[in-house]
Amino acid sequence: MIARIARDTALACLAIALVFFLFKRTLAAPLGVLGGGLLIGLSFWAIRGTVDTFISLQSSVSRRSGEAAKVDETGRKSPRFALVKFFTRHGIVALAAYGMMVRLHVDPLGVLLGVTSLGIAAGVEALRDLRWRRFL
Amino acid sequence: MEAFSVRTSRLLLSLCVTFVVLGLASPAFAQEAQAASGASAAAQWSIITAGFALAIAALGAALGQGKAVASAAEAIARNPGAAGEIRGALILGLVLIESLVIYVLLISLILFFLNPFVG
Repeated sequence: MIARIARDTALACLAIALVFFLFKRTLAAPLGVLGGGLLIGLSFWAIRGTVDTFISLQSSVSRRSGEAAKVDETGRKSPRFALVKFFTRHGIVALAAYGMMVRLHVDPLGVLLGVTSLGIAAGVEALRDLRWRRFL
Repeated sequence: MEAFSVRTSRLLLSLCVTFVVLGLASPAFAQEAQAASGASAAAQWSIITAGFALAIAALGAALGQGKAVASAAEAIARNPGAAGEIRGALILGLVLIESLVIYVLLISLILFFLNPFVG
């Protein structure tokens, strides 16, 4: 489901960029939409990585297997490392938003529309799921 | 327990007072420059509003995400076999909450740096 929503988000972002370019006729408009898509993609990536790390940690701790000991020895999947990565990625999101809006002067409305692409993809997925359940 | 809650509430109250004072102080310092440049009062209020909007959005998102993560952790602990489905729903919920915060961040950036009320 998550991979499908990510793909739908990218498709929605591209479609919105195309429509917005046809509407505005400037290069800053589609760049803003793509920038918004980049922002939500970075956020998605950060949250997905952190949730995956914590769930794998939780399951490895509950299993108490040899793999858990291996994870602890390497230290790569420690909660501290995951939290550092999470906050670093969110810092990158904030910096990217600042750079796009203030330094590169992309279209702010386009950036907002680009961020909306995830909501559109989630809505499409919900509709698809609803339609599928109706025929079950 | 009661002493802990009293201490926590005092800490929260002092944090709120600090935020309000800091929020009001910067526009007060910026007031002279704003008046000199002839900008309208709407610009100052928009900046204050943007700061408060960002703070409220962060607070609401933190509460929502905390509740979502707590519920997901409880659900996975009850039924470890459903961890995959819970993970997907959790990631989607967290990202949708996060997208609302990004909206507010963008609006705040617009009001801070590209303020439409400043001529």
